[in-house]
Amino acid sequence: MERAFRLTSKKKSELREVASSASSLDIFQKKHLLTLVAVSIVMGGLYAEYGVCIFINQKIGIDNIFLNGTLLGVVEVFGYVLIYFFANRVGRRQINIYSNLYKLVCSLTLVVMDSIHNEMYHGLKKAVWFQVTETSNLPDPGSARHLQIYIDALRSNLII
Amino acid sequence: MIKLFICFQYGTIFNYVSELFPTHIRGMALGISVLIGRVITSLSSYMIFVTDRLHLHPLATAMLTSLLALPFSYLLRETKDQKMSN
Repeated sequence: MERAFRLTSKKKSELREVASSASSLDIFQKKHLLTLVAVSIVMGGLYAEYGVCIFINQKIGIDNIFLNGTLLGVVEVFGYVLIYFFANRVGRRQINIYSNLYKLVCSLTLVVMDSIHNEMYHGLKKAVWFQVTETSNLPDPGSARHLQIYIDALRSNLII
Repeated sequence: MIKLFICFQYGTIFNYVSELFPTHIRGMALGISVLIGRVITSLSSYMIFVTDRLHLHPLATAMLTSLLALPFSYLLRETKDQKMSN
């Protein structure tokens, strides 16, 4: 009994030693602090994209809230199911790097496509209005309004 | 696709952060990084507002954050099949 007690007290003193040598303030050591900054930036970016992506379906013209939610949910489930198979086969660092890279490529593609689409839309609009106002092929204002509706319909059919 | 890769990263980032730090500061490190992430999430609606004012696509924000996070992802070490510190 005494031996057991002695072992326990020995263990306790060892634990106390470990606890005193490892303080929670170790996070302010240079090595850990740099890792923490890097991790925080990666995590901040991830959460910011998560917040922004919720608005994207609305921005590309899906006004139906049920379809919007269903799309988000299905893609999310699909992503988690896929990562279930990949997480232990591929390195965490690689997953992190490639996820960031692909997100960058996808968002860059969307931004570039959107700017091209805007240029096309404004060019088309300018050309049509020139035709309406300068050549006076369509004299009554009702026709001009119809043309605007036509342009808007055309715009909604283009990929954003 | 963006959402898919966000889920990919979201599924692994918590394990990855846990493995990067020794046990006695693990909780604090994870807590601080998640706190910063949540604060940035609360600012994301303002990011949409700012991109609207600048006549940019809202995904320009996602592009910038990915661009910023990419070099920092390179700096972090691999933890798969490595012995964990303490």
